[in-house]
Parts: sequence; structure tokens; C-alpha cells
Amino acid sequence: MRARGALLELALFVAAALLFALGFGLPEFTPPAFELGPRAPGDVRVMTWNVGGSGSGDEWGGPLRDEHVAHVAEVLRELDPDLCFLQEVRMGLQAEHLLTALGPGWQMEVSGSTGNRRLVAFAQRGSLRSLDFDDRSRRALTVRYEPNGGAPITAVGLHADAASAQRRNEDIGALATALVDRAGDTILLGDFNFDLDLGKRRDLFTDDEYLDVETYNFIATRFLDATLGTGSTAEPDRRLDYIFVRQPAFEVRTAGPIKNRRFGDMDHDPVLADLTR
Amino acid sequence: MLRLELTRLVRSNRPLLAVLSLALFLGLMLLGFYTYAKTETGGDVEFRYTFENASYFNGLTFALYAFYFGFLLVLPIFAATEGGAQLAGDSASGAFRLLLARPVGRARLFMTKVAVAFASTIVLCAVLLAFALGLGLLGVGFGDLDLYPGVLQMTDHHQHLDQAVALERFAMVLPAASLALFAPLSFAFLISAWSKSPVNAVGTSVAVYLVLYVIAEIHFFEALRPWLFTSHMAYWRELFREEVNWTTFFRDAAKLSGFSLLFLALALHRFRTREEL
Repeated sequence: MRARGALLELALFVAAALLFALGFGLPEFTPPAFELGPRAPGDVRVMTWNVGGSGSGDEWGGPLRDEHVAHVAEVLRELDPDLCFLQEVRMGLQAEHLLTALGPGWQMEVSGSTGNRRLVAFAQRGSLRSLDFDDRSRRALTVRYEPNGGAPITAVGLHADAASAQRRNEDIGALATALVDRAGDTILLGDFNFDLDLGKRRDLFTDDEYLDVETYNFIATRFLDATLGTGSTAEPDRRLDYIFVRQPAFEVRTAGPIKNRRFGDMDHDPVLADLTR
Repeated sequence: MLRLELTRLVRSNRPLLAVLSLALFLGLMLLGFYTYAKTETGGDVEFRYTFENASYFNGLTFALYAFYFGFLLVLPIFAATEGGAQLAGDSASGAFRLLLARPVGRARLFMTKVAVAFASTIVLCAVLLAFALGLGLLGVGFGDLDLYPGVLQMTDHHQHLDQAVALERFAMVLPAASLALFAPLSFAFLISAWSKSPVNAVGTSVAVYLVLYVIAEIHFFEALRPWLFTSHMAYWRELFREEVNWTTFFRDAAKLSGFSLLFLALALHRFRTREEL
């Protein structure tokens, strides 16, 4: 009888070991990494990039450094977006220097300033002009981009408040509502400054997560999150940059963050989407 | 022996008290659900832009919320109580001396107690699920199941399940959730095998479960998560995705089963070798 008990005990240990091996051995699910492919004719490529740095001594990081302007222009030429929003461009002539570095064929619109930085929209292969829209506290820039031979697009680039979930909710919610009310093809993109990673819920160092969920859901019920499931866009392992497109105006052919394009102390990746109409 | 243990379980009134507690829990959940729905959809919200709306709340949402919280916070306590009471309770009351005077192996006695306690846990799980669904569908109303990123931490984007599909998924939850509850039950058996006092065994089991649960929930302790059985307890939430990731599902089920069998093997070893005076 004792031997039977010992045998049962051994069987339990062996079964536990096998199950642990199975449980820890099965591969973790990881979404396939985003790879930028060739763009299809007729696609519109949109992009957002917070080009600010993380370590200039400023509490919320610093704006784009002048010595990084040439690198940013090089990345823009390489990724070749039709419409691109940059956040954290320094006040003064930095935007103009960027336009010069980009070369002929590019157009530019700039937002008002928040502190010593501003939003800038660049476009090529079409016409670009800013719109008098609800540009919440100068944290947003609204433009109308009309690609050559295509229907116009209304796009709002945003750099949401990094410090307050309440202000993020008000700014993003108002912009999303205004965009929904607007007829035509609309896009909302930029640095939204929230991360909804399931694994990071109840982080000891933030109590904003559940509040930002409300804001994200508000947008996601009205727009398509083009880069969902494509991974982090900013350090440390956070998804802060988004491209939301209105459906059915657009189908997303491919979208995601482009890795290995940061320079110096930059802490965001460019995020890009190829949209079919 | 099985009949004897079942009779003793029924006469202990523990299952009846557990069912009454579940009924009270669901009543409070229903009250809280209506209060939340009213305040979150009636304009009495802190955030201006929120995804909450009256149509989002229906019987299936209630059933899922109620079962989720009941599963994580109420059922494990009943499982720990049952496991803690089984061995230590009989040891303290002297019932073991009586039982072991018969020609019955300790391993057989141990496994009979495990089987009875596990059956009791499955019944409680089924009762909670049936009550939650019944109360939800009859008291709140029918409808499809819509899930958004939020308090249940189930998804990072909107998921929609038709009512029929959602009900199928609820049916699949019963065996999956019962398997998960086997882990705290086995853990309580392990504590019970080392204790002579049922109060100490139950108290310790419940306290350790709650500590491990809290640790597993906080992002700060992310590195510990894979090694805590409480991290995997709610693995059945995967069933409420539009596309279930079965690898993730079975990986967590295997880990939980491994933990359960390991606890049982250790408990059996202790039970086989300890003195019953």
C-alpha cells in the first residue's frame, strides 16, 4: 500500500514536470514584426514622428536638436511619405531648415507653439494648406492635403499633453468629434502620449492607464487604429504614437513603426501607414 | 469512501454557505452594475469623452463582469477553504485516526478527498456561471457581447461576439475556469497537509493566495509573474476574443495544471509521511 502511494506521488511529480515543460516550452505569441514594403500605385503614405529628444534636461525632454535636422530630412526622403507630421520641432527657423534640407517638391505648414516647440506638416506630390480648425491649445495642426489626381484629405496632427490624462481626453475627444462631423476622408495621427499595453496595467508608477482607456476607446469606436498590434513606438517599450483613419474612406495596406531611424537621444520611432482609398 | 466523504462535505454546510455567498455577491454586483451604468452614461462623468453608452451594458456584459470578479476574488477563497479544511480539519477532529484504523491506504484517502473537494469547486464554479448568466440575461437583457479595453484587461481593442457565439464561449469557460481553480485548491491541500489546525490552514491558504494575486497584478513585479500560479488563473479570458489564440490558451492551462499537480505531489508526500497521533 505504501509502494502504491509512493508510485502515485512519483507519477504526480512526473506529470507536473511534463506539464511545466509543455507550458513554458510552447512559443509565446508575438505579432509579426512590421516590415515596410514597396508602396502600391495610388496609395497615400502618411507618417507621424516625434523627433524630440529625451535627455536635454527639460522635464519632458527637449525639442529636435539642430544637429539632427539633416538626419530627419534624410529619413523623410528615405521613407518618402506623401504627408508627414513632426512633433517637437524647435521654434525659430528649424522648420524652414528642415524644408530646405528636404529639397524641392516639399511643402510645409506649421502650428502655433507650445513652449519652444511646435508641430510641422510636410507634404509632397500634392498641395498642402492649413485649416482653421479646432487646434486645441496649439497642440494640434489641421491640414488639407490634396494629392495629385486624388480626393482631398483632412488630417489632424496632434501632440497630446504628456502630464494630464484629463487634458488628453479633452483635446483628443474634441478633435475626434470634430473630425467625425466633418465630411470627407479624415485622419487623426500623432503622439497621443498614452500606452494601453495590457501587461502594464496597474503599474505602480502611473494611475492614468485606466483613464486613458476611456480616451482610446472613444477614438477607436469612430476610427480604425491603423497600427494596432505592431508594437512599441517609443522608449521604454511604449506605444505612444498612433495613426487613426476614418472608415470606409481608407483601407490600411500596411502600417507600423519603422525601427532604427532614431538618432542621438531621440526616443520615438517614425510611424507610417500606406492607405488605399 | 467516496460516498462517506461526500456525505461529510454536504453535512459540513460549506457548499450551502458558499452558494449563499455567491448569491449575495451577484446581488451586489447587479446593484453596482446598474449604478455604474447610470453614472457613466448619464452625463455624470469625470471625463467628457467616454466610450460608455447604455447599449454597451447588457446581460452578457454583466455575466462576464460578475463571473470574472467572482472567479478571481470569491471562488479561490472557497477553493482554499475547502482544501484547507479537508486534511487539517480531519486531523484536528481526530477523524483521521478513525479512518486510518481501517485498511485504507493514505494515498487513496488523500485522492478521494482531492476528488470530492475538486468536484465541490466545479459545482460552485458552475453555480456562479449559471447564476451570473441567468441573472444577466433575464434581469438585464439579451444582446451581443462587446468588449473594449478596460477593467477586465481582456483586450487591447474592441471585440464583438454575437450572442450565440458568446454563449458558446461561456460554456467553454466552465471546464477552463474549473481547471484554473484546481491550482488554489491544490495549494490549500499542501498547506493543510502541513497544518494540524483547519483555521490556520484556511487562513494561510487564503492569505497566501491574495498576496500572490496582488503581486501578479502589479506591473512592478513583472519578472515574477511567470512563476506565480495566480498570474495564469484568468487564462480563460482568451476565450472571449474574436479569434482565440489557442497556443496561449493551452500554454497557460498546462502551466496551471503543472502547478496543481506539483502542489498535490508535495501535499501527498507530506500526508503519507506525517504522524497522525
